[in-house]
Amino acid sequence: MVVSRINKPKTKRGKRFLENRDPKVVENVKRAMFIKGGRTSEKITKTLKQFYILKTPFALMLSKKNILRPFDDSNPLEYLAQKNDHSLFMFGFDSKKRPDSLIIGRMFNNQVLDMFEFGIEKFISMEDFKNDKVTLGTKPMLVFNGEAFSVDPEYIRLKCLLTDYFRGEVVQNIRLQGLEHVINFTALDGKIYFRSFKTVFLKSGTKIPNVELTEIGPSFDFVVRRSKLASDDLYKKSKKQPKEIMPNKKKNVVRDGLGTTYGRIHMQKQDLDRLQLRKLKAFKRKFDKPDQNKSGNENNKKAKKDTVTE
Amino acid sequence: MVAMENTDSLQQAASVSVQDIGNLVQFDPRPIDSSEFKKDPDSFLKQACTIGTQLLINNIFQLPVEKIDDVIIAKLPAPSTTLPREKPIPKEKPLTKWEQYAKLKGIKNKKKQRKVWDETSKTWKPTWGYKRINDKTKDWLIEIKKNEDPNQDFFSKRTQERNERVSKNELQRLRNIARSSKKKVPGVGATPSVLSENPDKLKLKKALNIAKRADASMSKFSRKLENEDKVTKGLGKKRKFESNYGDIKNEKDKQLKLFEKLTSTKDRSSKEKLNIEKATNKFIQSENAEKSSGKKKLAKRSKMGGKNKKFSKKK
Repeated sequence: MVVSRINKPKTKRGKRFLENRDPKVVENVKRAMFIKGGRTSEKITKTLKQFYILKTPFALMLSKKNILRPFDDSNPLEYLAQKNDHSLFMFGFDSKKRPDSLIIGRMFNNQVLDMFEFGIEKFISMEDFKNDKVTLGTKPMLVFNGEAFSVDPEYIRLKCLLTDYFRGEVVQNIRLQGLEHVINFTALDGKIYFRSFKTVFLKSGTKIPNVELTEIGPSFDFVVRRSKLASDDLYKKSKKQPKEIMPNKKKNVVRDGLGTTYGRIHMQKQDLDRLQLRKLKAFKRKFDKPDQNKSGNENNKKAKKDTVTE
Repeated sequence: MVAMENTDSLQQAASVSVQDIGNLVQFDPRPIDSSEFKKDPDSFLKQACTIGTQLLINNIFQLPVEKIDDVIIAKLPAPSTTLPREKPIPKEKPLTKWEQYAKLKGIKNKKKQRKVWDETSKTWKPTWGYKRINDKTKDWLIEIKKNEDPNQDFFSKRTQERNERVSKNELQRLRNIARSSKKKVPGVGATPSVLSENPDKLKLKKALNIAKRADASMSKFSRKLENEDKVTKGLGKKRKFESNYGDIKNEKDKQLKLFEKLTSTKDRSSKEKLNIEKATNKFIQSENAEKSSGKKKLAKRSKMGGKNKKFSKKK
């Protein structure tokens, strides 16, 4: 599974570091890097910071300016991703033609898979909501609303990207009281509304509590501008899963719509000649020994054939 | 009243919404009433999100739970939507040349103990590496064999030999990488030039023929390629000539054999068959031509020379 390198790592630590970056069956959590463009407005800088806080601990803020144009030339961006080993990115810039722009995207194999450009129309930061925030790094619940997310192929991909971006770690167990953060995306008339809430569980008298939400910010109104989607070929390639984590197919077990399980079993044909019946003198084999043997053999052959056809 | 409305909308949303509990994702695909939205966007979004969250919570709280240290933990199912991977699926590490050979021959590594008891120092010492047992480099004395030149520096010779082994190993490692990445691997020593220049079918055949015999068994035990015998048939054989002072009996037999082949009626499909019909036609034609032009008789005859003999082979 190890990638063979021409330059060997010189220390054990270096080796471990490189091994961590190799392709894995069960992958690391996708990490996001936040990049400032050549010119950024205050809105953009703040936005990047807000998302950086939301994404910590799986986030990296690049402190220097990077003059990039991801839609024209994605190579420098890919270089940064490869260097830092971060496959999600958010790039903010401000220009006359595209004021307050934010590009969100993801990579596969250090190549840009898909990216979307948003214009920020409305922005309220986390600090403007004067209330308790959620614990840093909690796994958020993601709530999507709007018809476009199921109809428009571009928005379907966007939904996939946003899920990928914000879902955080894949876990097997979750603390029920830890479900305190909800991120809401609503698609309506070419805009995406981003809202973030904290949950409050109220007693309902049953096992399931009633949910009440308080907005904790940040909140954004985005306009969808440009987008670049991966080709079907690349997308399919990126979605391919290794055999090791695919669930084993159970043979001969079928479930119908009502939840009933059916099993198919294969049996050999019964040899009725050798069936043990009541012991009678007339059934004794020694009376017709040669004949009996023959018929028995034939039956056996038949049984074998049957199993093959089944 | 408000609660009633809520339960109604909850049920409606539940019937259409799509969930991926493994990722904690809830999706309501119903179209949004935009006039309703414009009245008060923020409260509308909050309302819609509350319904979505409630639906998700309903399902999460019904999952099997476990109690660990007064904390209730639910077991999440695996995510139902497959998201793109970050990196391609890892490939199996290609075997090195030695590993291939070992596999072929069924050689297995013996597990060595990490530490061995050293009788001289009465301590446990590593089998290999730093401060290892039997460390020859630490010897202050080297025994010189009889046939060796006593005037050379045996200590520097030892380090030199070691360095050579190290660099050989490094070279082999690089060659393994190159081989597995399907790049051209430089050979050790003289490589056959047949392949390096313009590769040509005949050259390739010749190279194969040479390579075939290049092992100790003269190809007796080497693995054969598909159709190898067919391809290299006749290659590497020397031409044979009859001796000038041949024995007459042998020559006579050969000529007779050839004649028989031409005249035999058994094998009609043979290329060397005599086509009697064609031959007679030709003969008649030539006779006619002779009659008609008596003047050119001589010239024609001379032209006919060896090629247009009276009995020609069918082509």
